[in-house]
Amino acid sequence: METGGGVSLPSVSRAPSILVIGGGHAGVEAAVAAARVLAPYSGRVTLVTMDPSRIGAMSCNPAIGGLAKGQMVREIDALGGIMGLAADATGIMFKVLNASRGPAVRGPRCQSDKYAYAAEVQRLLSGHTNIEVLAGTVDEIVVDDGRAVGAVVAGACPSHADRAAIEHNLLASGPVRPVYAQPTDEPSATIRLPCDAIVLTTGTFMRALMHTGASRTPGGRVGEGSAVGISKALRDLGFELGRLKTGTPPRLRRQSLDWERLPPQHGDARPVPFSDLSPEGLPGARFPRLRQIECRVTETNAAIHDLIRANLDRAPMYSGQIEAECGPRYCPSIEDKVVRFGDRDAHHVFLEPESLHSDEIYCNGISTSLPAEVQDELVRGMPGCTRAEILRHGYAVEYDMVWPHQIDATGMTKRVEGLFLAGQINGTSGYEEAAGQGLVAGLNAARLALGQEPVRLGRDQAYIGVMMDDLVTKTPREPYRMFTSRAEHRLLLRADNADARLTPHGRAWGLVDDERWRAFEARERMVAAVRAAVDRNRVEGRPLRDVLRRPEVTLDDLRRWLGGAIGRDTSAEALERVLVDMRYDGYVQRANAEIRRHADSERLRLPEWLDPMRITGLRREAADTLVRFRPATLGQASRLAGINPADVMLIAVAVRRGKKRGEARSA
Amino acid sequence: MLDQAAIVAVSSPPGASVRGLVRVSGVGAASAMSAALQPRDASARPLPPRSPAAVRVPLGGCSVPALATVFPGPGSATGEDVVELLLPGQPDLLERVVDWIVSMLRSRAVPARRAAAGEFMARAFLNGRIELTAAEGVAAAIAARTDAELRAAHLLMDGALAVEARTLTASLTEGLALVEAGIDFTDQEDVVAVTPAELLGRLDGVRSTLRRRLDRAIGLERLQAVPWVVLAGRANAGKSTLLNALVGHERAVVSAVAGTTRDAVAEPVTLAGPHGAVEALLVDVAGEDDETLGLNPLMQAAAASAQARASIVLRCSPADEPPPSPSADARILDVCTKSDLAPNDGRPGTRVSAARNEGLDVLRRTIALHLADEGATVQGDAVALSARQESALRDASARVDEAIALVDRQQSERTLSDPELVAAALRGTIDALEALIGRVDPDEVLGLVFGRFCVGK
Repeated sequence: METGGGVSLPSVSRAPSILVIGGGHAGVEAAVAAARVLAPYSGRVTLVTMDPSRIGAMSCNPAIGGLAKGQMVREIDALGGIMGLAADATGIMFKVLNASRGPAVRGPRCQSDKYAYAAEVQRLLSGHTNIEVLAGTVDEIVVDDGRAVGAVVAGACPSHADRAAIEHNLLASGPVRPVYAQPTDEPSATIRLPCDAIVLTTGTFMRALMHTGASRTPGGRVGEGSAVGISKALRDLGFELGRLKTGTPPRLRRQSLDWERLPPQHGDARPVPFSDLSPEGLPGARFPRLRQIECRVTETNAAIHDLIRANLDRAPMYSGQIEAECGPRYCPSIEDKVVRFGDRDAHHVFLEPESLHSDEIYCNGISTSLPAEVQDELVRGMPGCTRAEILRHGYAVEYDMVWPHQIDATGMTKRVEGLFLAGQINGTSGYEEAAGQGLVAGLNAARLALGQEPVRLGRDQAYIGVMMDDLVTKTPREPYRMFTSRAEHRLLLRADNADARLTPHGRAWGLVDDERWRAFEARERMVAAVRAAVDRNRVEGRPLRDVLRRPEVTLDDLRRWLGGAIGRDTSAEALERVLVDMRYDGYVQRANAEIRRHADSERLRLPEWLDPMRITGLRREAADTLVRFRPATLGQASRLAGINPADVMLIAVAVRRGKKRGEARSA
Repeated sequence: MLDQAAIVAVSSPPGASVRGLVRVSGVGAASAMSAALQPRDASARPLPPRSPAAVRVPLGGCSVPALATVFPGPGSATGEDVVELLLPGQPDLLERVVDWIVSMLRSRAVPARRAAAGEFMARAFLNGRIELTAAEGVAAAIAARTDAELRAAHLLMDGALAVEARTLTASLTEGLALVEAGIDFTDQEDVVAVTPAELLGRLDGVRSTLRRRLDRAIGLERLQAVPWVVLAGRANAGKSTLLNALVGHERAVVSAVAGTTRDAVAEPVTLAGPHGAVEALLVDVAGEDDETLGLNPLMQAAAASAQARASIVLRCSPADEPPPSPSADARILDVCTKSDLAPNDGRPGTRVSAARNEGLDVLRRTIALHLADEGATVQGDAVALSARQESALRDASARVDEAIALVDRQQSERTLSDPELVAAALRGTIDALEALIGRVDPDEVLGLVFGRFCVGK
């Protein structure tokens, strides 16, 4: 693919380089992961985004974590990601969901100041001297002999499309200094960026179209543009694209509401941070860093529901104006709720401040794409909102995505070596899901650049592993969101043990720096000491180990029983880890036995030379499914719809026999 | 299937037979077995290759006589060390020997486990012991083995057990969805977590259905509890022919040559009698005077032991031979076979001719009458379960008990305090039932939640 008139960046060195396209939650984690892995090799990461000032933006609800998502944030943190630190530094209300339930299903969540969050993400990015940020839009992926070797970036204005301008954009020397393409600049230049691998994170921006009533505006987020070229480029490369829809509620001006009259919602009295590095790793080494706020609750009513019903034909999802078939079931618009649950005459609406320094209120519960004037009436029908001023109307957005069976659990596409996809482009929803994929894709892109084997997280290792596996073995009908019930080994995948599960892997992969590793080792030593003390001690004449299985045992009980057997400085986290491990001991042992039993076949790699059409005895339907999904492991294959146990057996036999023959030949 | 562990299995057909074969395949299996078995002739240690040696298997308190043959790898059928043990054909005994071998090998640091269906053949295939020309056939055989199970599962789907299992799974999946809603969607206004009492009602129903089904199931052990009707008599007395006639289809190899029946043949039958149907196991054993090489004494011993545990012994004598002397054993029913060959000479016993289909109904009723006295009337809806099905049901039953134990102690609470543990037990129950009716996807559980509750802020 040659681009006439394009300006090529001078190749500074032969050092490995990764291109990350998109500066959302997937893009920044990809950039950081790749930057960490590449740093010892003098490798570089270039992050291209339409508007660098919007890096780390929270497009919808300014909240991080929640059920299952909170566990993912802990996993991202354990692997050296930045989401947990950014949330801890900018949270204005922290709450552990399911606090009254078992430790495996507790989900830490926070609401962040959305401006502070984006600024903190940008600050954390700038801490990596081998990440550079470039304003622009990618219209083409340059593929040479089946491998991605670069991208063509358009939209940077001519005066900036030279080395000086790009250097001006380097984040190495300080905070973000975005260079905007001015509307008056024309024609826009294109530059060609060579690289060893590309991580593409288009979010909702690919061929994006926003809907509010009958009005349609191209763009993936209000006030921003749409990425059109990349969609065609992917199609031209042979990718199968789909279209999904999501939506966002209206934002209200706080001063226009009867705020004080509405019932409040408080966060936890003692906020718990996400990151293993908090508070020491936060600016000012203080947690929580920002003033804590509370939310308010209001609700819809029968009159509002009647209004919505009367205007359904003007809602783009119902009028047929939106191409995408299905929006997210777990995050339905208020139109959906009224239609699907017609017997209810009220729905709660949570009013959540988006920032300490603005008066924007997020209306959690009334995502809508109804016409602006209907939204006005709808909002003003709610208690406390009769004089509400809408700062920004709700809208639906539909966008192109790539059916995720076209990637492997490493994030790399099966069609183009070196091209990785992460985030909403894979049909997921949510910041945490995007960030987890970004981390995996960035890590593997860097490994590819260094000539290292790709890595995959197992379903028994991390929620991120469950997600990657689900993506590559299932065909999503709606944006994919994580739930704890998706993880068959939920009792193993907890927020409290995310570091124990993942930080050693992260260290081996080059994601975990010395600071985090030292902190981890110190924690593990403490946990080991508690465990040893538990094994030595008895209470009420019984081994303490057995007593700890009782559900009513608390941390304070444990500390009291252990008394002087443990150091006075033993942290609550260490005690909790041991308590939770004991509590789930029986289940965990059973799960581990199950995992061991399947380990061999689960991780058996399906080699490149395996031709499904030539596997002896394999049914045609099964062979077709294998050709379409191209599973990387036998475990993935076994979870595909259309593959039965007999097929799995035949595939395994074909691989084993082929291997033996290969060994015999090479011997 | 793809690990390198030694595999152990009973390799003779299921059910009762005179002798049974237990086979071991694995690297290092020969020396371990050689060391653990006790040769009758002490000089036979280590066991000689490819030649049967009389040994004893030290099974707990007793030791069992067996013939052991060692086939060292890689020249064996599977390409690994293979050891075959010929043992008395008692199913329970064979299973115990398999267990003993597995734990014995593990204790000698040889990884070992029970073999999956078709696995010996798969090993042979993988280790290149089967020619490439045969490869296609073997692959097809492996597929057929597992496909046969699938077909059986499909057949089962139309049966009463499947309807029941599906109802149970549906109820459990819905219960699980309610529990999961209380975990994943507690931040949702509309989601009312299931109360322990409500869940308990549902689980009690599941438990009692599972228990009823298991109680009525006729598994292997229950099959052995069914009264045995053993056919006895000299070689070629027409026992196999009579068994086939009573069962109503070909089973035993029938031949005019004396001594054709080498192994015992067992067939379950339901016999109509004056007091209702009676279930029994018809057992045909080797002829009493069958003099074949090698194993004859063992076979005779097995025949004797089968007669010893019989509820009824059908003493068969052909009409054209002298009648047997009367017996004092109340279990013995004399049957005069081949009645078409000679006129009634007034000897005691039921006259039958399988060739002319004469006297069979009389014999059936006579057997039924005798057995009914023992109170072995069959329940109407008993279902014979395969070992796999029964173990799946038992597993399900154990896991639902576990869930109930968790829920039971919080019956008076408003919400479940440890829903993740209850969910784990429910998933375990569903997993066990899946073995009977197919997989429940997590998406289905989520689908039920979305269908029931208005979720989403």
